[in-house]
Amino acid sequence: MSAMNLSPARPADVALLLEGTYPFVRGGVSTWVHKLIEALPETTFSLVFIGGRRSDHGRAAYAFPPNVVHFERHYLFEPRKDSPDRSVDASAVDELDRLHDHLLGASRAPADAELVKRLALCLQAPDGFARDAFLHEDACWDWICDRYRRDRADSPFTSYFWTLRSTYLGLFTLADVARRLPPARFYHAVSTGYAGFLGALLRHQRSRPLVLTEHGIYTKERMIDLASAESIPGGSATRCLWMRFFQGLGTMTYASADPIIALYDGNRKRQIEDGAAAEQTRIIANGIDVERFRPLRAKLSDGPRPVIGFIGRVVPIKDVKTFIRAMKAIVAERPEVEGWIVGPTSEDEAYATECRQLVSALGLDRNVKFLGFRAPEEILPQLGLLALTSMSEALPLVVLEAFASGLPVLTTDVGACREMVEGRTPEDRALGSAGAVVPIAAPEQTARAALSLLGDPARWRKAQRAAVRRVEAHYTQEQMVDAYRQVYREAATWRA
Amino acid sequence: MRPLRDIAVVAALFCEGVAGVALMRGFGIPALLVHVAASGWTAALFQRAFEGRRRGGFALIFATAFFVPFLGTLGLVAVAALTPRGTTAPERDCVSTRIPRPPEMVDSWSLPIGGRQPGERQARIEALTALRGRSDPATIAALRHAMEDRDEDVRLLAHALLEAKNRAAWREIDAANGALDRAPQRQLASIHRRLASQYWEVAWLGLAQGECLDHALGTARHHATAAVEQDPRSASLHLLLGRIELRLGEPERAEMALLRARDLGLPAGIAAPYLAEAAFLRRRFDLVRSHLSLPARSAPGGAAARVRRYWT
Repeated sequence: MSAMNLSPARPADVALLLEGTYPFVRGGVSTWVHKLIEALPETTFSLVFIGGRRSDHGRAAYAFPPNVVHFERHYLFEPRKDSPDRSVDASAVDELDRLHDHLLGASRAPADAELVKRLALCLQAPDGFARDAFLHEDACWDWICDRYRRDRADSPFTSYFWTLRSTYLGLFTLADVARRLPPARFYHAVSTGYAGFLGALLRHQRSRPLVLTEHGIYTKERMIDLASAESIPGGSATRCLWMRFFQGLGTMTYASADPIIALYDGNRKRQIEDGAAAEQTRIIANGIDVERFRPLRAKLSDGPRPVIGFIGRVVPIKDVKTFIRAMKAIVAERPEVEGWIVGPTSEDEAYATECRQLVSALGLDRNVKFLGFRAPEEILPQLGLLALTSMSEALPLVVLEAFASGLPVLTTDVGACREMVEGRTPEDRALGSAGAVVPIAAPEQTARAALSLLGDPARWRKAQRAAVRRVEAHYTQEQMVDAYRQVYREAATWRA
Repeated sequence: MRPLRDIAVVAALFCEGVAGVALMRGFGIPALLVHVAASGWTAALFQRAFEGRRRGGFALIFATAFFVPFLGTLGLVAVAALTPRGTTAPERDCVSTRIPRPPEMVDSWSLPIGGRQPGERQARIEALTALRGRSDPATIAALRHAMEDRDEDVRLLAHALLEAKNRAAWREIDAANGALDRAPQRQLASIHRRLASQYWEVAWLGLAQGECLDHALGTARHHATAAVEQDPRSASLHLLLGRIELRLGEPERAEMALLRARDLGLPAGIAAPYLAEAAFLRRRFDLVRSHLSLPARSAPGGAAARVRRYWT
């Protein structure tokens, strides 16, 4: 753990609980966090970053605005010196058993606020459960052996044992974080998962409200990660345990948070399906500073350029390979077209290497370029089309930035992308299509749609006009910030 | 039999005796009541002895004791005494696992959202997960089909699984390409052969479509041709080249390569289906018949014989 008191005299209004994003990782969520902090100068923020290992993250990619008064970071899987002298009593083991029933048991108990509160208070108590006791106590070893028999786990005992250690160690580390975190008037988790669990602990231990904003659906994204992993010790049984674990964290967060905010209605419905109370859900769409991008429109006035840009992190969920495969078909028809992959590659170097290899294997070295991270203002005016081939998105900021710059967008049919391109309501749809929508992982269809837009300047200009009108009407930063100002006001004045 | 049950059985038989005596003395209804009670008592006692935990077990034993007074109960005692009794069941040392439902048991891959049953998503996910270890064209086709599912989780999982297979294939291609750059002359043939096989596998499995498929097949042909130049006496290389040419829609070139493979010792039954396919594409239907009939006689269970049976 490392902490910085940036402005010790000022208490924090809100503690933002961030998992694997701001300030170390560039991307849509990080940009959203940064803009939110900047746009609410009257609110003081304390930031808690949760990561896997220190080596996964380099220097901060953002400079903190002056209203950030405290920052601390924690790594859940970093080795640390244990002090094996803490004992644990039988009642704490019972609580652990209850937590396990909810998180990893074969027939999971549903989470409700009372259950989460009991667990939170147990983890807070000085004689309650702690990481060192979990690692070293005989009672815990006996408990794991007993649970293995009761769960009738499909995996070998060693895999089961290490999976339990890995999952619960993270939670006990977060329990330590919750004990020491400086006070705030309320807590705001930007995902479920570990950040959401920390929020749930704080909500009950400190009797302060928890606000939850989910950009993507955390459990869904973890499922993709687990499915993509080529091998996991213990095989599918371990995958299944991890999946249950993340789903359990999700329901615990939903049982503790109010409001539960989604970026669009599709994700709100999914939250309800996953256990969120419908009356606590709310939609606040992303918004951007449209004025910042207005000057770029003039640079795009002379029609579509033969450059297609992919802007985003080079990670599997963005499915950069489909973009590359689509470029193969585009170049076969129009050899002058270039594809620019603009975004950091550091988050998943192995995947970035695979993408480069695919470019070479398909003979696209002359047409496809990896440019690394660049400011959107620098890149957008040089493009003729923004292509987003993601497997999963919520309401991507990069699409809004392209719209505000007057750039049509070609996107996969995920998240809110279709309503962003084609409109949500009848009035919105009357503005016209701001580009094209294609199925996921469909390089040929992506290529045809891109060629069609680039080869038809009249349609391209029409899409350009629709893009600008739509972003100005529905996705401004003012609308988003006003909505959050209201949420924060309600949370600050909340009474237990 | 344990002592307590022995006493209970004797008691039941005694009741039957009492009922018999009562009947003989003209006490019909009391006799019937005692007999019913004795029959019920017997059925309750023997239900476990016959492992009859099913609902019908009690009724069957009761009926035997009731409709065959005294002798029925005696018979049951005899059968129970002679039947080997099971020992106490040992603690289960196995675990129960759920078997994923195969895809064909799921009504449709594309049910509308409103019509989805609870647990259906999980069933579809489990069905897809069961395909993780398989790598054949049918699996790839099923995964592609699942990517059109209305449920995003199913689509995402299918894509993730497909991408993992793609990743493995292209990683091997990249390694072989790297080896080709550094290889001495004597290793060139084997590396070209490796690359031809790997690119062919990408195409055969269905991991590439459209322009990428053309590229994979074109590159496979390039490496197969280079390998044949280095090692012109390899029948399997000529077979590979023939199959690539067929897929590229070049039946004449395919036929040349396949005939060369046969001349170099490839069993006729292996080359015949491809030669027949090449002849079919060239509209030489007379040759199709001769290619399929010859190996069908020599190897009745071979691929050519199966093709012939299908068409005739």
